[in-house]
Amino acid sequence: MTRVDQLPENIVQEKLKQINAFIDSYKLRQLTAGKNMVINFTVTGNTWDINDTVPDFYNGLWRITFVPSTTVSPYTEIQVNYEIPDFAPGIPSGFIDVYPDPATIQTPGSVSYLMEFVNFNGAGANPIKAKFAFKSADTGTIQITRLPDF
Amino acid sequence: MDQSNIRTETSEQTIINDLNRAQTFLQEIHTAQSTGADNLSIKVNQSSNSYDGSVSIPGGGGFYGIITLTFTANNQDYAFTDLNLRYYLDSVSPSTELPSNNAFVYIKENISTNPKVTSWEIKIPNNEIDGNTHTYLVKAFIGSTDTGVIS
Repeated sequence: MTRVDQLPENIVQEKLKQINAFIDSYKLRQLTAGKNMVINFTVTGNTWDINDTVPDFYNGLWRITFVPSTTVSPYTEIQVNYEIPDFAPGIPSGFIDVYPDPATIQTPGSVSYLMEFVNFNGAGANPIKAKFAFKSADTGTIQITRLPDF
Repeated sequence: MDQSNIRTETSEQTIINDLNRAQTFLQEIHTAQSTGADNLSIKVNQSSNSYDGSVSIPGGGGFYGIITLTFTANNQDYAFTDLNLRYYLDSVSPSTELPSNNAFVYIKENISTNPKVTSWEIKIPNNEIDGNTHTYLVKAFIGSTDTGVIS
């Protein structure tokens, strides 16, 4: 009875086949989603990122920029919490809208949104408080710039 | 001819070939591998309900109602989410569906207080010209990098 498979060179060869099979499995399509996809949540340490006022019947405008740490224009989602006073009980004195910044949407790098606060209360300047967070594949920082009212 | 020597030489060559192959594969694995296209798995989540949220809004002009929708991911913290809505007026049927570009609907994603939970504020105006109170209903379809529950 011969045990050719027990020869040292054959054992090494079999081990190498196993390693190759293992490596081959890495090269198969591996789905990315759920638990194996790391998504970062970025928020400032401020209670409110915007704590400002807007003149009556003006639109206040801010640029909110997510500056990624390493990647260029990563996929991001912006999240917003805000407070505006009521004009009357249950009736807000204005509204906000948040949308991608047309001026920077074609520029690779950071990701910018505009937040518009429409103050229509008719009773003078209106306070606005807002805070932002970003979900992104990258970590980063948040920058906020107030643009001219219109 | 010594047959054992032939076998040994063949085996050694095979080992060398296998080692070369393993080395090549390892070098490939160490290069950057992009995630996207068909290896990025996106699930479209929906509930079994005919609608997921509703609000009654007075008529007469200028009145808005707010619906809050929540998506709770099964596995992933801060899952990417893409909210898509169908709008209905007073009841859910093909004849009561409103255009999805319903004017002056404002949607914002709220800041997460739970990593698994994404929520949206959907602000809808009563644009009906009859001046009556109407109920607006929305059905959500959420594309996400995770499966989850809509509420």
